[in-house]
Amino acid sequence: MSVFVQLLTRSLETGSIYALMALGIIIIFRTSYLVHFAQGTMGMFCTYMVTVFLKTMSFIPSVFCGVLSAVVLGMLVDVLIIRRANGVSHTGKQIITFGLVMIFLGIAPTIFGVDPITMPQFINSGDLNILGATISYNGLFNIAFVLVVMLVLFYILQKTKFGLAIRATSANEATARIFGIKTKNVTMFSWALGGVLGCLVGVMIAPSSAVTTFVLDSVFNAACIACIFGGFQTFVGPVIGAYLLGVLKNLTVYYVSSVWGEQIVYVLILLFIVVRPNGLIGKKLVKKV
Amino acid sequence: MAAEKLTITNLNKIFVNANGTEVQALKDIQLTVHEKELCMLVGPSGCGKSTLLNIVGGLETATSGEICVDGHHVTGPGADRGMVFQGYSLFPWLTVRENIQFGLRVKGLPKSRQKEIADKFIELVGLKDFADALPKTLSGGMKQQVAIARTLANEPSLLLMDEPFGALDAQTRLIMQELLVDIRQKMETTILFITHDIDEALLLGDNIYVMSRRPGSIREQISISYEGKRDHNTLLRPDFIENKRKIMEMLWQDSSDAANGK
Repeated sequence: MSVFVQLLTRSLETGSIYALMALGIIIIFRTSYLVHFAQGTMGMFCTYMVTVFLKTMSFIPSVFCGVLSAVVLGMLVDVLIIRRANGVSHTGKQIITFGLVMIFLGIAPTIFGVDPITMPQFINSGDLNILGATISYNGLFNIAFVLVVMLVLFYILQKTKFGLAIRATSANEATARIFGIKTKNVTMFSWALGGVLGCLVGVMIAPSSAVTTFVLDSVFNAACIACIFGGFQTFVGPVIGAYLLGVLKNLTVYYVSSVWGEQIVYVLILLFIVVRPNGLIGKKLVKKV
Repeated sequence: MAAEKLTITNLNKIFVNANGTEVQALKDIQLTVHEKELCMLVGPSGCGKSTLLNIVGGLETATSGEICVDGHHVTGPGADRGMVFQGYSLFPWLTVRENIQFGLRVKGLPKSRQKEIADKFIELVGLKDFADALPKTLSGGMKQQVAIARTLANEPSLLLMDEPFGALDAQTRLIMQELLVDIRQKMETTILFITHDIDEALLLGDNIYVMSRRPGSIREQISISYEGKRDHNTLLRPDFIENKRKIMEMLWQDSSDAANGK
């Protein structure tokens, strides 16, 4: 029983992290039709920014400033790079996001140095004991924090006028424009949001390792797979895919193989995609007029 | 002489490819649509008709030239111009009524007023029994009816239609054409309509502009005046057939010129 609860809590932790990153990917995808391959790398860059702010500020204000810099960075990338690439082929635009990976991967060590930097946690110590399993208070905080962020985002999406603009833009950009929706604001918002979510993920996982240039790589890869698993046609699909991925991973690593667990899960998802190419909540991606 | 709703002067559109080569899509377009007129734009595939409509709608910009709607220059999308496309541009998660209300919702009208206006247009296109249905339960023709109702609900000054009935089967197309005639009588909307179907153009249009192949320019303008109601009998009128012959010859000439490399 305690093993089960332990696995559950760990799955929730992993799933939450993946879900937040996946949400950043899917929001950019559904409004700009691009998989933002530099989502993890830009998140890493902003996490480094938080460490810079930490030198002069305490934790919460540093994170806040880091998030603000992520907003600015995301908006700049959209306005200066992505929008200028409007006439480029779709593959070309995807390659541009790869280029962004190279840029940020190159700049980060130049500005921030090559040594790993420690990141403090939101809640410094203390564990909770439930039914024989242990979970740190920080872990609980992460799970709750992600849930709150997602609830806020889904509220905005479903209940506000701007959320309607986002959904309309992601359904049919031309039609949305004709009805007076400022689609440029929608895309700028989604790039800024992607940056913010990447930064938040970095701040949440860096405490358990360190801030390095590759700190978000494995999370980003997992989040991409969560999006493929959950389907690119909805906002909620990747989130569900992410949590399921967290559960599957932890279960397989514990019960099947601690070495190959991850890979086994990915192969299973691959087989799933063969049967259901559009993912869990998959509808065929309809070509827009 | 009715007032001019839309005037296009000296319009050119040149697309620049990624590798720098230029493609002239539209050349020296001069076009006028008068108020309450249904103006048809007919031309071969690829001649730039859709590009021209997109420019008037504000989705694309012209390389040079002027477009004025009600005396104002067109610089981007606006509520004064509504567009209906060939494919189904309905928002799939909204019901028929909610789709029709969409433009009004964006404008910020109170909910009661939104419903009032939407119901009026649902009635106009004859979809009262489907007001709460989702788009996926509708046939192609019905979806286009919703698309038209949605655009009209916004009360645009000019309605732009890009081959709206092109994806429908022949029977549905006839029904939709009759619906359009009906709507025009009731609402006196000014329409700029693109089609490659000559019958459709001559049946519905008051004024027809025939475009040449790429680079698209205006070859000919034909004014239509039939007395009486337009219906299937119109298709057999001598002046209809004469105009059809004229247009067919032009288009045939164009494609044989293209084949011979002229």
